[in-house]
Amino acid sequence: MKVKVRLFGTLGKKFPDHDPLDGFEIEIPENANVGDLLDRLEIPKSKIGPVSVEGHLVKAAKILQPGDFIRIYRPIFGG
Amino acid sequence: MKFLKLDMATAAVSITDVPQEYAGLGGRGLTSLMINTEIPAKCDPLGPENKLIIAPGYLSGTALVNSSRLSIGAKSPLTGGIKESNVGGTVAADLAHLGITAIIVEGQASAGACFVLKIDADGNGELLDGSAYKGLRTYELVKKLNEAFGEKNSITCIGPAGEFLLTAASIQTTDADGRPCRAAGRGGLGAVMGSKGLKAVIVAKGGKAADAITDPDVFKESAKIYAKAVKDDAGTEDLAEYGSAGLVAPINAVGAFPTRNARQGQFEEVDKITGETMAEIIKKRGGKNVHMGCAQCIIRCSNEYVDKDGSYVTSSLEYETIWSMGGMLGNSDLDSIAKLDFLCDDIGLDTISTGVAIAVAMDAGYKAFGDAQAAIEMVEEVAKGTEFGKIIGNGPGAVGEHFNHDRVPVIKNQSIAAYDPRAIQGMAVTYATTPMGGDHTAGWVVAENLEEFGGTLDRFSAEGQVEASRNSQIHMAAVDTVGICDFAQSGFGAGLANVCKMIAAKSGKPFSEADWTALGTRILKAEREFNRNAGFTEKDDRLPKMFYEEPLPPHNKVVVISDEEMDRTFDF
Repeated sequence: MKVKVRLFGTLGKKFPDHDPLDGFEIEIPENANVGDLLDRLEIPKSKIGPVSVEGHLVKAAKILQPGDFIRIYRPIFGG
Repeated sequence: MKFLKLDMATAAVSITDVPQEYAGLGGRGLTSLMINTEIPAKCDPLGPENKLIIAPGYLSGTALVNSSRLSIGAKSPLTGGIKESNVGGTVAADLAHLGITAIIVEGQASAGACFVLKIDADGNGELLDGSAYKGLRTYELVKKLNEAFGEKNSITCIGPAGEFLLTAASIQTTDADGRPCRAAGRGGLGAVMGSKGLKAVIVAKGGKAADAITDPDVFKESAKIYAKAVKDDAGTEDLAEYGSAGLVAPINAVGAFPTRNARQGQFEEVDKITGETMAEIIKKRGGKNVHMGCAQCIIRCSNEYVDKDGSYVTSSLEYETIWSMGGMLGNSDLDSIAKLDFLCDDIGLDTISTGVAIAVAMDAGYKAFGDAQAAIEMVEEVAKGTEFGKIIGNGPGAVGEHFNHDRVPVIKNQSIAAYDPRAIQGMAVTYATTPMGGDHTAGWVVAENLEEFGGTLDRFSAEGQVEASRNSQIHMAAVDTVGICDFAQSGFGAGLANVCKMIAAKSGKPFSEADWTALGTRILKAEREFNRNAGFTEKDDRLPKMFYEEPLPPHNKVVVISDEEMDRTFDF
């Protein structure tokens, strides 16, 4: 199934077809969850901050639906 | 190691040795201990008994990266309590290169008098007639001072807001490009500088009289290890690309981005004002991302925002300002946010207090949320010195009083910053208890509060929040003393012991990790003591009732830290 993913901060840099303001569409297996998606993107967990699906914060076990818009944020640091 | 003392009543400048009791201190440790010892707590903050103390960090001017942080301290006219306002730029390194531990501004010039302080390349200071510079905004002031004194100086100055003695007035200082765009914003210290009759401090660059390092080899090695840890940290690249503005999207995502005077925790138009959007706009228009703002910076979190024609608008557009002039006002127009940032720097205003003051005015119905033009006009009124401009320039508390409106997000009369305490309970503790008034840098416990993403605390629960805030506040008091940039704290990844080694290598005296904690604790105790003597009680360590009573969407939580828990924060 296809989902839309937007990677924030420098997370999107390694994906040439990722638009920094709009993200990209990717294909993942049916019933995949957020953890599966993060594995598929091969982004180390230490580089990932909050993740939301359709604007709601989720944990790794959240099952994804076709067409979901997933936002993956960088870890929170600063001040 | 010397103090440069200014007696504003006689325009005399004297140089004295640093007394033993202040040895080994710099930055906030020095300003706060001196304020508590030497300033009568009940004095008029805009009167002759108050002192303005300008001190580089203890490690400023050394080979350590990201150490050009300046502490400016005084009794605050905004809070009525002790204040340390921290700023980057180049002046801390420049003062330290001249061997100046602090500039202490005492007394008061006669009414209407205006001076500038010129410190030459030998570290000698002279108070000069500054009447030609009266009333100038900071960019024009810096231009004129450069014409008169040359460009090889850092300039620390006030704008019209400071001269009008307004309590949201900042002290601005020049960045690595010589623009007065770095602000010691909080606490109204621009008004203290204005009350002294001091318009600007001009400090020669390239001094050769920095304090000797007792053990230079050990220092160099530790500084190298520190720099490597900063360089290698995962966050450094993000900070360079997006600056602090990279926080807009994630803080909004977790529902902690106070919106429309903190009526919501998420801004539905946030995509227009994220750090990512800002960086794209800057890139497209030919501005600068990954820009160096401060001396010895290897992170380069600054930026240069330009308009559609590629002309300079402001530097550096930061998270807190995008919040205060954006989300807090329901304003998603980044160009107007950048313009408001520039105006605040130019007029000499704290962007946080000013944005929140406008937000309170909009909340009270004076203008509609989202009306960016109205916000610009309100800030311009400050510079004109109109009656309403004075109210805005005195911060959100004054605006609330004017409109008889009680949704005013201030603690000790200073506004909160861009983290809603209802969505991050640890920030409720910091805002309420720090001796500085509502202040995010005093004890930033945001990362620790994101349990679902690696933090150890439940951000909606009171559990562990007091301890987290206390520990962070102690640590930050020490960080602000040595003068390390908050964003370069990744260097502590190489261990606190490595930082302690540098302190010991400079002073020649042992300095352990326990000494670090003792230093932070000593500073907080002094600050608390000053505030108690000024009349503060535990009732001042509370948030306004909106945070206890109004659930914040989307999580619909309120602050759950009890008064008893707040009072436990400083149980030492």
